[in-house]
Amino acid sequence: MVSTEIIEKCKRNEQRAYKQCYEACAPYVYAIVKNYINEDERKDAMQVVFAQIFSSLHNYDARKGAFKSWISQVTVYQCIGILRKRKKLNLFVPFDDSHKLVSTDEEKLLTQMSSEDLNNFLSEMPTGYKTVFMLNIIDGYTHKEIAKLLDISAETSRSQLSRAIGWIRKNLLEATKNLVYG
Amino acid sequence: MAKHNKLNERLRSQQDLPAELSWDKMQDGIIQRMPATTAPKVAAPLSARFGKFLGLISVTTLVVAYFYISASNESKAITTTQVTQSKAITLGTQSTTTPTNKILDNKSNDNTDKAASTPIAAVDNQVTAPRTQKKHTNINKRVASKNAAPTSIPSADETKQKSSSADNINSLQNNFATKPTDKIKNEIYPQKEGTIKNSPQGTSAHTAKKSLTYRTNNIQQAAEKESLLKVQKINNQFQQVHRTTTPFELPPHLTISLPAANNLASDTKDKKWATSIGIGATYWKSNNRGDNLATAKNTFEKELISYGTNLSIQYQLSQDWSISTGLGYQKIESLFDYQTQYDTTRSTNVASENVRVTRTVLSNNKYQIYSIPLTIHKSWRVKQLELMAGLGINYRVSLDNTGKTLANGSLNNPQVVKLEDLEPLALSQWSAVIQLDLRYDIGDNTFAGASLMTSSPFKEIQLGTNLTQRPLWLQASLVIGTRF
Repeated sequence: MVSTEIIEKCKRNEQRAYKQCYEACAPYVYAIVKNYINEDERKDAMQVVFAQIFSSLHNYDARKGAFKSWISQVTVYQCIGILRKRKKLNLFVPFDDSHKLVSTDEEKLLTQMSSEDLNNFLSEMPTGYKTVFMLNIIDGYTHKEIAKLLDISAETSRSQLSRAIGWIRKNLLEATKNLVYG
Repeated sequence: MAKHNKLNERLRSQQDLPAELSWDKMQDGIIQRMPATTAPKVAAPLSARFGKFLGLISVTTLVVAYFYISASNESKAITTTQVTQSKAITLGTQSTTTPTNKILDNKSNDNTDKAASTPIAAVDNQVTAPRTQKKHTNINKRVASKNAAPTSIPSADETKQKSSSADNINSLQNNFATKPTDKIKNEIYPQKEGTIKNSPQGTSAHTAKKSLTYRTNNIQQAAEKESLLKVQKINNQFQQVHRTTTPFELPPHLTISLPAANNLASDTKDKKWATSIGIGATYWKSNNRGDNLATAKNTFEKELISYGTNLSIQYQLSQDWSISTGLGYQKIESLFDYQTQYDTTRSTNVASENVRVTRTVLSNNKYQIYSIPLTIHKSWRVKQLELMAGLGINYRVSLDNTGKTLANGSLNNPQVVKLEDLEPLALSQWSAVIQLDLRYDIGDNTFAGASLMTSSPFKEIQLGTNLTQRPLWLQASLVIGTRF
C-alpha cells in the first residue's frame, strides 16, 4: 500500500510524503469511513483520521502487522470516536435473545450485491445497529472489544447485532427484489 | 480478523475518491487537526511570500544604492581634486597674463596682439590650456626668431609647459640680475622699443628689475584678492580649489566652464514637474479596539504582508518645497482562521440529542484599496541625492473586499460575516500621511529611489457596537521617475 520509505519520510514530517501517503491510503480509508459515518460528515472524518494517522505514525511498527491493518484499526477507532463524541450512537436497546449471526444465505445475498448497492443498503441501517454490525461482522471485533470500544456492555453489543441482523433480514429481500426487478 | 471476508472485501474495495477529498483540498484541514509538534510547517501564502520577496528586494536595493553612492562620492572627490589642480595651473597662467598686459598696455600704447606683446605673456602662455596652445606657440616662434635670447636665459621654446608661471617669473627675475641691461631690455621689451624709449633714459638694470618686481608683486596681490573672492563664490564643495590654486585670478569665462561647477539644482530649477511610479510591500495592522470581540478579531485575523503600487505627479513650488498627488492601489490581505465550539440539538431518525459542533472558518481576506494622496514635501539635496520628507492627507476608497471576519456580537456569541456585507469597510475615508523619500539622480531627468510611507485614518471605522478599527499602513516602495 505505502512503501517503507514514504512512511519513514512521513515520520520526519515531510509534507510531500504526507501527500503520497494520503493518495495511496485515502481510497481504502474512505471505504471504511463510509461504513461508519454519514455522508455530510465524511470530509471532517477523513481529516480527523488522517491527522491521527500522521501524528501517530511513529507508533507504527512494521514487525507487528501490515500497514493496511494498522490504518484500518486507526480509522475504525477514529470513526467510533467521532460517533461517540457526537453522541450518535443509540445503543440503549434492551437485550434480545433472538439474535443470530448472519446466515450463509443472507451472506450470499449480500455478497451478490455490488459494492455500491451494498454500501447504499447498509447506509440505510440505523447508526447504532450499523456500528456494531460493521465492527463485528466486517471488521471482526469481538463483543468484548466492541463493548470496550463503545463503552457498553457485551450484551448490549450482542443485542445491537441481533437488531442489525433482523433489520437486514427484513430489508434484504425487498432490496434484492428492487435490484433485480427495479 | 474479519469474520465475513467476502463482505469485508466487497465493502472495503477501493473506490475513486470524491474530488472534494483530494489532497489539495484536505491538507489544510488535516494539518490543522494535527498536534503542533508533529504538524509540518505550512508554506506561507503566495502573497505573503511575494511580499517578503519584495521587502527583501527593497532592502537589498537600498543597501546597494547606499554603497554605490558612497563609492561614487569617493571617486568624485578624487576627480574634483585632480580637476582643481589642473585648473590651478591653467587659471593661474591665464590670470597672470591679463593684469600684466593691462599694465604694459598702459605703458606702451601698443596695438599689437596682447598675448604676443610681452615675453612674460609669451612665457606664461606656454603653460596655458591646450585650446590656446597652438596660437601661443606660433607667437613664441616669432618672438624667438626676432629676438634671440641669451644662452643663459631659457627661451620660450625651452621652457617646459608643465612648469608653473610663478617659477617662470622667478627665473626671469633671477636672470635679470646677471644679464646686461640692453640684453635684458631686449628680452623684456623686444617689440616695444617705444615703451623703452618712453622710459627714463639711462635706467639701470637694477631699476628695471625693481620695477618689474614691483609690478609682479602688485599683480600677485591683486590676483590673489580677486581669486579669493571669486573662489569663495563658486561653491563650498570647491573649496579645494581655493586651497590648491596658486594665488592668481580666476577668469570668469573659465569659472563657467568648470566641469563640476554645474550645480544639479540649476538643472532641475527649470523643471517644475516630476512623475514617478512605485511598487512595494505593505505591512499593516488592523488595530481593532473595543470589547472582547476586538480581542477575538485581533487573535483570529492575522495581517499578511501585502503589496501595492502607486503613480505620482509632483510640482516644484520652490527649490526646497514641492507638492505631489497621484493614484495608489493596495491589495491588503489577512488570514482569518476562526474556530469555535457550540452545543446544538440534532435529530436523527431514532432520537434527538445534544451534540457539540466544532466550527472552523478559514478565509484569506482581501481588501482592495484605492487612494489619492495630497502631500507637501520638503527636500534636502546633497549632490545627486535628494531626501524628501512629506506630510499630507490621503483619500482612500475600499472596494471589492472579499473574505470573512467577526462582527456584531460578543466573544461568546460571535457572528462571522462576509466582508462584502460589512458596509463600513467599503466607505471612503480620509487618512493622514507621513512620507519619506530618498532619490538618486540616475540621469539628467530621471531618478530612482525608495519611499517609505505610513498612514492611518483620521477617524476610527465603526464596525459594530463598541467595536472600532483604525488600521495603520506602512508601505515601502521602490520608485523610478522623471522630471519635465
